[in-house]
Amino acid sequence: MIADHLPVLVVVLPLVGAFVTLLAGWADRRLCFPIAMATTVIQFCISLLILSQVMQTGPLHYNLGNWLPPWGIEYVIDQLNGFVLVVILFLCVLTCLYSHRSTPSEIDEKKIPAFYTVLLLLVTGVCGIAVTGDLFNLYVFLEISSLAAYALVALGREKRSLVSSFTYLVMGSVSACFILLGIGHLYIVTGTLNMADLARVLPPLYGSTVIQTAFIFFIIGLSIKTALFPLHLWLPDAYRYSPSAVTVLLSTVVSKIGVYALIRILFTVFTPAFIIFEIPVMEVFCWMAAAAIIGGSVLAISQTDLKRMLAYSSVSQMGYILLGIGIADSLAVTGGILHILNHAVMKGCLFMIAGSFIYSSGIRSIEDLRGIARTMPLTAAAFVIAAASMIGIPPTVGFMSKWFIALGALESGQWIFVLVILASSLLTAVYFWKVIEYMYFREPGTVCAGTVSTARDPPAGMLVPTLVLAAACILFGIFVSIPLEVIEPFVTGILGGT
Amino acid sequence: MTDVMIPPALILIAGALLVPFLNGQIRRLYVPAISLAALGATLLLAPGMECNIPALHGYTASLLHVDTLSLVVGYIFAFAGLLALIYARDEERAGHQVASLLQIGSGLGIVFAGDFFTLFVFWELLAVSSVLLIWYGGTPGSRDAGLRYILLHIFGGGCLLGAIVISVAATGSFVVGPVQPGLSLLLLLVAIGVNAAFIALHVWLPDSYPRSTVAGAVILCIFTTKAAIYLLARTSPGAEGVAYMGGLMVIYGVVFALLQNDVRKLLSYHIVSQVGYMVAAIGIGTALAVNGGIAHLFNHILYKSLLFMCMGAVIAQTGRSNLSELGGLAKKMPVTLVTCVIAAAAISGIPGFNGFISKGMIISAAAEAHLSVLEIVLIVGSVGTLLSFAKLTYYTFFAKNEGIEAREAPLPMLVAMVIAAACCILYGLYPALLYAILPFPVDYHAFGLSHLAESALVIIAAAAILFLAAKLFMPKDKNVPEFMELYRYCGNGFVWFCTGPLTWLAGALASVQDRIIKGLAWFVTNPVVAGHILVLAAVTPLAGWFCTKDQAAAFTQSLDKKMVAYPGDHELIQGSGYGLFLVSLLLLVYFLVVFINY
Repeated sequence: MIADHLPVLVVVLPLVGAFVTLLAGWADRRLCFPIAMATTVIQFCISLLILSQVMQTGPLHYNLGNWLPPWGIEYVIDQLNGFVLVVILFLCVLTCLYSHRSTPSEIDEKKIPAFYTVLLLLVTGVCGIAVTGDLFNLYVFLEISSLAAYALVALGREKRSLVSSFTYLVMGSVSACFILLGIGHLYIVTGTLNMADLARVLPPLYGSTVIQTAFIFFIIGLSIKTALFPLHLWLPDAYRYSPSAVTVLLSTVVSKIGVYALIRILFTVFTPAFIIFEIPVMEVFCWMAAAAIIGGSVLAISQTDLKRMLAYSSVSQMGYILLGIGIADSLAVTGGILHILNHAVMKGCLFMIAGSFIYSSGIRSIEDLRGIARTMPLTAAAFVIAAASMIGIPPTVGFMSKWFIALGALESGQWIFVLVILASSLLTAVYFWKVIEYMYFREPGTVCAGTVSTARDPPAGMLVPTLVLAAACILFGIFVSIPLEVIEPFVTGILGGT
Repeated sequence: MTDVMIPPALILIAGALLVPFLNGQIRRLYVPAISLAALGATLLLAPGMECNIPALHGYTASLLHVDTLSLVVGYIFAFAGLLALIYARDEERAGHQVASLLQIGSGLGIVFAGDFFTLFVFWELLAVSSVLLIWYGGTPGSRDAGLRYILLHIFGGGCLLGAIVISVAATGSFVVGPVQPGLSLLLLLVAIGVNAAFIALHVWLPDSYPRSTVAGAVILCIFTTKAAIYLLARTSPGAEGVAYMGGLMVIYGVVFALLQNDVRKLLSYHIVSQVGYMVAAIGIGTALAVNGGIAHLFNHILYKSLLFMCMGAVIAQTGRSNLSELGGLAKKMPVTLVTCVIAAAAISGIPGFNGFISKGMIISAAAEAHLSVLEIVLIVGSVGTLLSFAKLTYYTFFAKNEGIEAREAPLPMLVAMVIAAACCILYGLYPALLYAILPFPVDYHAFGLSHLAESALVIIAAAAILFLAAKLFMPKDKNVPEFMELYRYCGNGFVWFCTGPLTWLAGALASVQDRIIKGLAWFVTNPVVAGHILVLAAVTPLAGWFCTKDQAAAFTQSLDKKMVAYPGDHELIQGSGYGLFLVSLLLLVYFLVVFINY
C-alpha cells in the first residue's frame, strides 16, 4: 500500500515535518533537532527504497491525486533522479547531524526552530524538484527551495549575511524569472507542461524561434542557479556568510539540484538531437563551463578566507559537471553525473571541515591555520583526503569523474577541454596545497598561537559526518562501479550506448 | 611431472632478510646453512618442475621453470655459492652477508625464472647486491667503481626491460625464450653484453672486482657474467656475430691480463677472456658448442672462484695486491700455492684438469662449424692464458722477495679452496660426471689424440715465448690504459656540457619562467583588480592622444593609485548590479549565437 506512494511521501514528509518542527519549537527548542533528523533519515530510507525499485522495475510513475498526465501533475522517477535523490538526502542526513552541534554557536538560540523548519522546507523543495515530472511543478519547488535557502543564508549573525542573502535573492529571482519565462514560452507553443509530453510534442517545433528563445532562457536561468561562471557572483558571499551547516547544504544539495534540473531540461524535455544539432548553444555552454573551471580555480587561489576559497573552488567544480553535460558525449555525461555525487561528497566534507575550524578555534583565514594539524589531527587528515580528491588523485572519487569527463572530451575530439581539466587540476593542487602547507608545515603564528594550541577536534556530532564523507571520498573512488551501475542505464537511455 | 617445489632463490632471499636479526656467532653458521639448504633444494629439482605464483591481471610469476639447461647452471651456482660463503666465514659484517646471500639468490632466481618479468626482477637484484659487495671494499676507489658499476648496469637493465616489453607486446608471451628479432633482440644483446662483459661494455668488470672485498670478489666473479651467458644460451644461441665477439673477448682479455700488475685485475681480465670462450661457444650454437659453453661455464666457476680465493688469501695475509710487491710465498703459504697451481692449470687447459675438457669441446665445435679463424683465436687465447698464469704464479709465490711476513690462510678459506681444487681435478679426470648433466647428449672424447696434441702445442708455444722473452712479462708499476678512461672522458665532457652551456641555458629559461610565474602570482592575488589595472595600463598611453593633458594626468594618477593599493580588499562584495549586467551580456551572447543565422 504505502510502497505505491513512496514518490509523494518523500516530498510530503518534510513538509509535514517542517510544520511539526515549528510547533514543537514553541514548546521546547530541543525537540527540533530530533524531529528534523528523524524526518531526513526516514526520507533517506525512502529514497533508497525508491532507487532499488527503479533499478529493478524501471522508472516509477505516480499520478498526484489520481489526475492522469498530461493534465494532472505526474511524479516520474528514473535512474537519474533516483540517484540524485539518494545523494542529496544522504547529505541532508549528514548535514542535519552536523548542524546539531555547529549551528547553536553560529545563530541566535531562539532562531533554532526557524532554522530546522526552513531547513526541512528546503529539503521539501529539493526533493520536489527531484521527483516531479511536471515543468511548472519543478518551478514551484525551485522557488520553495530557493526561498528557504535565502532565509537560511540570512540566519548568519554577521551583518554581511543579510547583504549576501539579499544579493543571492536578487540573482535567484532573476534566475527564477528566466526559468518561468522559458516555461511560459513552451506552454504558449505546446499547451502542455508535462515533461514527457513536451518531449513528444516538441521535435516538430524545433525550428520555432519561440522554442529556441525558451531554451536560451532555461540555460540562462539555470546557469545563474548553478553559479556558472561568470554568473557566480552571488555564490562566494552566500557561502562565506552563512552558518557552516547551511554552507554545506548550499554547496551540496542546492547546487546539485540545479544541475539536476538542467540535465532534466536539456536531455528529457529537449533532446540531445536538439541541443547538439539543432542550435549551437551547447558549444557556448561548454566554453562557459571551461571558463568556469579555470576562472573558479584562479579566483580560489587568490582567496585568503578558507570558506571563500572553497566557494570559488565550487564554481570551478560545478564547471566540471556542466562541462561533462555540455560535451553531451555518453562518457562525459556519465562523468558529469558521477561528479554530482563526488563533488557533493568532497565539498560537503571540506565545508564541514571549514565549519569545524570556525567552531573549534574561530579561525576563518587560511594563514591563521598554521600548525593546526597538531591540535586537530583528524579534521586535518580528513581535509587532506578531500583535497586529494578535489585535485583528482587516484583512487579518490575526484579522479574517477575527471577521468570520465576527460575521456568523453577526447572521444568527441575536443582535446582542448582535456587541457583545461589538466590545467585546472594543477591550479586546484596549488590552492589546496597552500592550505595543507599551512596546516601541517608551518609553526603557529604569533597572533593565533593561542587559539591554534587550544583548538581540539570538534565533538563527535560534527566529526562523524566529516569523517564519513572523507571515507566516502575514497570508498566511492575504489567502488566506483556502484554509482556507475545506476548512472549508466540513464545515460544509455538518453544518448544510446557508450 | 609438474610438482610444486620451493624455489631455491626464495630460500636465500628470505634467509638474507633474517640475517640482521641474528648475532655474530649464530650468523657464522646460519649463512652457510642457508646456502646449504638452497643447494639441497636445487639438488631436489628435476626437469619439468614449475612453481607459478598468480600475480596481477592474469600475469603469473613463474619462479621455477626447470629444464636441463637451467639445472646444470643452477647446480654450479648453488655449489659455488656455498663454497664462497664457507670461504667468507670470517667476513662478519651483516650487510656483506645479506648482499652475498642476495647475490646467490638472485643468480639462482635468474636461472630458474620461467618468465621474463621474474627474470628481470632478479637481474636487477643481482646488480644491486653486486654494488653492495663492491662498496664493502671500503676504499674511495671502490665507492666510485660501484657508482660506475651501477650506472652501466642500470643502462643494461633498461635495455633488458625494453627488450622484454617490445617482445611481450609483439608476441604476448612472457616465457623466457627467443625474443622478437629486430630491436628487441638488439636490446637484449646489449643487456646481455653489459653483464657478460662484451668488449666496449666490459669496462665495469676490471674496474670494480679488484676493488671489492676479498670474499666479495669471490662471490662476484661467479654470478653476473655467467647469468648473462645462461640468458644468452636460453634466448639466442647460434649468432655468428656473437661468436666473433667471443673471440675478440678472448684475445682482448688475455692481452690486457698480461699487462696487469694487480693480481685481481689480472684475474678480472681473465674473466673477460674466459667468458669470451663461452660467448663464442653459444654463438656457434651447435649442440656440441652449447654443451661446451655450458660445461666451460661450470668449470670456469670452479677454477675462477678458486683463483679469486687464492689471490684473496694472499691479499688478506700480506696486505699487498701488486705482483711487483709480492713474491716468495711458496714456503709460507703452501696450500694456497698448490691450489693456485691447480686452478692455473685448469684455466690454462692442461690435460687432467677440468678447463681442458670444456675448452677442447669449444675449440672442436668451432672446427666442426668451419670457423677456422675463431678456432685459431681460441687456441692463441689458450697460449696467452698459460703465459699469464705462469706469470701470476711465479711472481706471487716464487719471485725473490724477502720482506714479506705472511702465514697460511685461516682454515675456512683453506677448506673452500681445497674443495674447489679437488673438484677441478675430479671433473678433469672424470668428465663423464659433467657430461651427464649437460643440456644435450654428449658424444665427445676429451682425451683424443688431437686434443692432447693441441694442448701440447699450446704448452710448447707458451714455453718458447717464456724462454725467449721472459723479460716482457716482468710486472711493471705503471698504469695500463683502460677502456674505462674513454668513458670517463666522455662522462666528464658530458658533465662539463651540463654544468656549463646547459646550466646557462637552464638559468636563462628559469628566469623567463620566473617572470611569468611572478606575473601570474601577481595577477591571481586579486584577478578582478589586476584586470582593471591591466586595462588601465593599456588605455593610458592612448589617453594622451584623445584627452586633454589634465584628463590624461588624472588617468595616470588613478592607475598609480590602483597599483599602490594592489592587491586591495579581498572581501569585496560584488554588487548585484554587476551580476545583472553580466546576465544581460550572456543573454545577448546566446541570442547572437542562435539567431545570427536568421
